Amino acid sequence: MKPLILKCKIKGKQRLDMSWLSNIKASKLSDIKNILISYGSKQYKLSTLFDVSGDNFEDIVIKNSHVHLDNIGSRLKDKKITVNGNVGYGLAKGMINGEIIVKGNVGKNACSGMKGGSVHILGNADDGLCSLPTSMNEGLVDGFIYVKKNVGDNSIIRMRRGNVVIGGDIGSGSCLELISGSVVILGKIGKNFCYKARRGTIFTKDKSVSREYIKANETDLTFFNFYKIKINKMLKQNLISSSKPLRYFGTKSERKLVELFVI
Amino acid sequence: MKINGLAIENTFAEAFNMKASRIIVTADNTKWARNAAVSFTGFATSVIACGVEAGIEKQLTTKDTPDGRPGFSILLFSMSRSQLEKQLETRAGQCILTCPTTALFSGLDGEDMIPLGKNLKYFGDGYQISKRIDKKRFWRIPVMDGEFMCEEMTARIPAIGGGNFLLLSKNRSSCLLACELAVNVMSKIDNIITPFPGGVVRSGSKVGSKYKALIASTNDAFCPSLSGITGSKLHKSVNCVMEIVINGLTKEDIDKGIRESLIAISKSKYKKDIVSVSAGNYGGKLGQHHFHLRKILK
Repeated sequence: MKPLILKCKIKGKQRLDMSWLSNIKASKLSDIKNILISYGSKQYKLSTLFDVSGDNFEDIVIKNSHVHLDNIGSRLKDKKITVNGNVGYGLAKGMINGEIIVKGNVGKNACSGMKGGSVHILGNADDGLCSLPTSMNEGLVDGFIYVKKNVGDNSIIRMRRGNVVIGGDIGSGSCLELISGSVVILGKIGKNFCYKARRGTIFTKDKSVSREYIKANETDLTFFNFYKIKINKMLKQNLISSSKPLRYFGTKSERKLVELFVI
Repeated sequence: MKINGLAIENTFAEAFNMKASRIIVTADNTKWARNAAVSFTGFATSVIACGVEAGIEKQLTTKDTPDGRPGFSILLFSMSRSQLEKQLETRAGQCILTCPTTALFSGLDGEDMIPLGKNLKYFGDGYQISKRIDKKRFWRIPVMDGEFMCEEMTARIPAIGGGNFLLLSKNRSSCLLACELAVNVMSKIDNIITPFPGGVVRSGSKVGSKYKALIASTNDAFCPSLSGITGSKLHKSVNCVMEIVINGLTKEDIDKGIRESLIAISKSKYKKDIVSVSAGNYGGKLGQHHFHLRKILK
């Protein structure tokens, strides 16, 4: 079976809401071609805006994607979406499970309120990655997110659990009110990092953030080594290579149980 | 029927449906991983009185374990889910949590999950840390040597317990050495364990007893010392009988264990002292699985 391929034909300035993609329930390709979607002030058949082919509707590939395609993978469940190109805002918003791979940059508020599944962004992510969605108290409930390059400001807000791996830098105001979960940051970290964090584990190469944390013993690195193996295996690359990290546990100011590994 | 001159009796082993689980215990080095594994699998020879039958399945290299440390894979078998749950948690708490440098992981994936570290986490007294990675939850419990890490749940799958064969020998030393050879061969086969001490049983049992309180008693038909006074099933030349009990995840795994170990014995120097190979059964009425020795060796 071939994946459902949607080749974008439009290059206009109008934004296109792609949230319908997560709810495809058609059994025939012709049904999918006839799906009506709003674009600008009018409704169009899908085949007018995209070249549509393929027969596996659980595996979707978007080609020629650009920054005006919003809400791709919103509330996604049990599907795989691969995007060739950049995407707009709201990627994987409220995603439940499944897999999204973006071979480009993503817009604001990606993975906001995500509840499960995995998202691989092979470019940069704009501000507000895992930001708080309206009507929710947590920016990331669960799931796995990998951003190969940099992430913007105000990202990872009130993360409950899950794993976020960032290959580049992260902007200011990130990991605000961290509740739990694990965040790996291999680049530099902006200002006000982990402000009012309660728990959670941070793996970073930026030693400057360790000033606010209490130095802990390093005798037992069972979890660190386990996590390193797990993440490297999931990403199929030797992303975390350190074998002797510095371990910090607890903040000096409020004695919160935030754990920090400087790798 | 003879295999390389080793006589195989026309009989079968009778085995039972059981529930099984696999765990992986790791430690800083093999010595401490083995200490934990041996302790965990102690007093786990038979469900009759131990609640669970357990054994070390195999030693794992650093490449095979979730945390990159040496370890052992352990299989547990029980007749009921509740017993398996109870024994797993009790033994994990007393034998692995307590053992220096160890960590504990599930060795099986499945839909029917049972607790592994789910309740052990309370030992952390609020300082325990939960980590959810790849749809699995792990607990990090602070202990005096650092941290005890364990997976929250493990899977429970249907399995078979009680596959067996009996070596009927002219003398005890050859019988024991042949058994050791068989156990050694089976230790290299995945998905099976031989739960008795050293993998060998000398006290094969029959159902019932003249004493009402006992549910099992000595298998007098296979006791050489009683051959003159009971309905013995032994040839006059037999002076020693030893049994190897095999528990496995599937019938094919047990078949493979029986076949390869008997072939190894048939090619060994101990063969000359083995009068025949038999198997333990209850007339075929109790167990759901029958392992016909001759069919397996065909």
